[in-house]
Amino acid sequence: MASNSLSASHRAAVGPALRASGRAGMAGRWAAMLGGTALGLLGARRGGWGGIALGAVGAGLFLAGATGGPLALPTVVLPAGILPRRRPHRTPERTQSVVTIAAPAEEVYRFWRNFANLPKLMPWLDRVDVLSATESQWIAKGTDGEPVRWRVALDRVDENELLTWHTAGETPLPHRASLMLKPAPGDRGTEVRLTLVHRHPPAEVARLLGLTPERQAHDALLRLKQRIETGELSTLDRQPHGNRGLGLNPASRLGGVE
Amino acid sequence: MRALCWNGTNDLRVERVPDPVLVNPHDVIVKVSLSSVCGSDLHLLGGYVPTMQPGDIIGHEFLGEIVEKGPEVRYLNRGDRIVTVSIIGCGHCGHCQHGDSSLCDNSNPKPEAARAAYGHCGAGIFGYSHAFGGYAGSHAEYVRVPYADFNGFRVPEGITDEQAVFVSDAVPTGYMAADMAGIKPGDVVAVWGCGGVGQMAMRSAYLLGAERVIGIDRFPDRLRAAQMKAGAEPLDYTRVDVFDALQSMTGGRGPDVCIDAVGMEADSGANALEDLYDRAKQVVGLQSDRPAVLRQMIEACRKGGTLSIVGVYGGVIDKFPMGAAMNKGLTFRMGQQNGQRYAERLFGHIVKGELDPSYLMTHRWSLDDGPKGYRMFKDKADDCLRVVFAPHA
Ligand SMILES: NC(=O)c1ccc[n+]([C@@H]2O[C@H](COP(=O)([O-])OP(=O)(O)OC[C@H]3O[C@@H](n4cnc5c(N)ncnc54)[C@H](O)[C@@H]3O)[C@@H](O)[C@H]2O)c1
Ligand SMILES: [Zn+2]
Ligand SMILES: [Zn+2]
Repeated sequence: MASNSLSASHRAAVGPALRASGRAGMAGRWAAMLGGTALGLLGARRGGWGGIALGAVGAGLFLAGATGGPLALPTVVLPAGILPRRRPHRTPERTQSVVTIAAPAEEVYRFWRNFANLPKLMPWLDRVDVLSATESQWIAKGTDGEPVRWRVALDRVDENELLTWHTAGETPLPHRASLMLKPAPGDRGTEVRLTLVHRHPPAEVARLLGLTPERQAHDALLRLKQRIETGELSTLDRQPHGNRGLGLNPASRLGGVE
Repeated sequence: MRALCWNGTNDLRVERVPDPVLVNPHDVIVKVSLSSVCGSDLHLLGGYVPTMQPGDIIGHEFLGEIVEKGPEVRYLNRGDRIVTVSIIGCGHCGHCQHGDSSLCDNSNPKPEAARAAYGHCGAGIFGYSHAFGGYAGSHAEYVRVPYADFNGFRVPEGITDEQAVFVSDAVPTGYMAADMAGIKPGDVVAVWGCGGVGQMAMRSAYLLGAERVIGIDRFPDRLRAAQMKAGAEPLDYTRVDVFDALQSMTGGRGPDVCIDAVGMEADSGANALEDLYDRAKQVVGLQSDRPAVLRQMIEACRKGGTLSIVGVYGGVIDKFPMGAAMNKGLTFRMGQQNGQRYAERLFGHIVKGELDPSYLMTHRWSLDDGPKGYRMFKDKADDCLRVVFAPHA
């Protein structure tokens, strides 16, 4: 390896002329951008720049900081339209979620087919009582402490491919649903699609059960995937943490940096 | 137990917290013997990773002994000395099965924030904010390790604690940077950043067949270590023009591989206006990350060359020279490290004496000195490469 004077010898080799000519444009370029953009924005921002916080359009990653505690640096702000926004569903009563599970369809199907398993995937359910080969009684916890009940009848049962069911009889939440299984390409396992179609708008469902059908479908599939793939649910349960900023201990602070 | 907790930007405190307990059947509890600072923590300290909550225990690069294990842990046992990969994989999802455990589908218990910001969520990381799962970190006397059989690696005899601890994070990150770049014999590799990660990338580049390795930084002690320990040719970016220097050193071709081991807090000290531009935009919130190194790599890299990025970015950047990247036919590789794929291989290199990361531990301190240690590491004072805390010492 060369001596440690590489940077010095190198400067000699490169020569000041090359650096001067080759890089002279750089400073000018940045000066222009700086003047034209950043400073303008600094000014505009002082006057209440109308950007949209990334968090506000749904990116909790950046927003959570603001709620999580005092941050010296601002929430990232972007002009409207930079972030792709999910288009609202055309029919809000219908929601669908899909996930790929690294397991054969039979295994996924077997777990779901036993509706008594479903409270493990849907913690908003208290329990599901299987009444017969095609009928079950679902009891949800309900947001106001009053359980919400409905009876479910199975419609189609195509082994390892499709399950459909609907609510039967009197219920505050009439809906139908399906679980579709399809082999994923290559060795990727099984694509699992859960569809929920409610008679009521999502807000009404959320009022009774605590979360929208979209969240229900998504969370249920997430848990299904974790249970099947890993045999457990990832969790922060009983995890230690400090006193969340109460009771200060200034003696050990890192103060004075920057 | 005692733990080092984040309480706000540049506000760390040693606090008393409850001991962790086994929760899931594949968990183990590790009694932490060594736990290192990492450049990634500086992004938390600086407030650039906003999903932190006051009281969160930080730290993710650690070594320790198993003191409790869940009923479904098969391979590891109580008493084992293990190093744990800082990024948590479940071991079963498609990504984990293909060795990309930092992309794990299952280990992040709070995927919503990352999904909303990134489209999909990545793996959970110890002590690295709620967007990355919110797991308690390792700057503590004990830590819970989920999916232990997959994430924990028994350290072979003959490897010291001081060597093994960095197999958690700095070594596999540097190794992956070199591995992703697809280095071929005769290649010239330039590495931006002579921190622990950069130096491990330099050493790994040689192990994977690089002909020459160039290390870029501004701190003389780090440049010296890069040269003496990792065998790199040092380049001080405050004293030479990096582009010109790299062209001159490579016959005008540019380096075949450019590695970013700096990340979102890159400083563009050599170009004051660019620096001001990036800092201004970061402060008003128009970009979250400062891309000075990325811009420099794109410009300097050989046509058809590869950029391998392990320096961490979190949000959005501005003035990204896409035209240069496209028209020069560059390849971009990047990602959080997949240490589970490399741990055994790295042990092999260490045992054979081809790699010795222990020199990264320039300081070994008590956990009570955590706030002071981070301050020194942040300021790069006292020739500090990494401060490692010994919570039970
Ligand atoms: N991908 C991963 O899984 C992973 C894992 C660990 C660390 N990291 C990231 O790797 C990066 C380095 O980590 P570290 O622990 O070595 O950090 P570090 O802070 O010790 O080192 C960073 C170095 O970059 C140098 N630097 C800053 N601006 C530069 C520029 N313009 N040109 C050249 N050098 C410059 C600094 O002087 C410093 O020496 C961080 O961004 C960290 O978050 C990524
Ligand atoms: Zn790290
Ligand atoms: Zn996984």
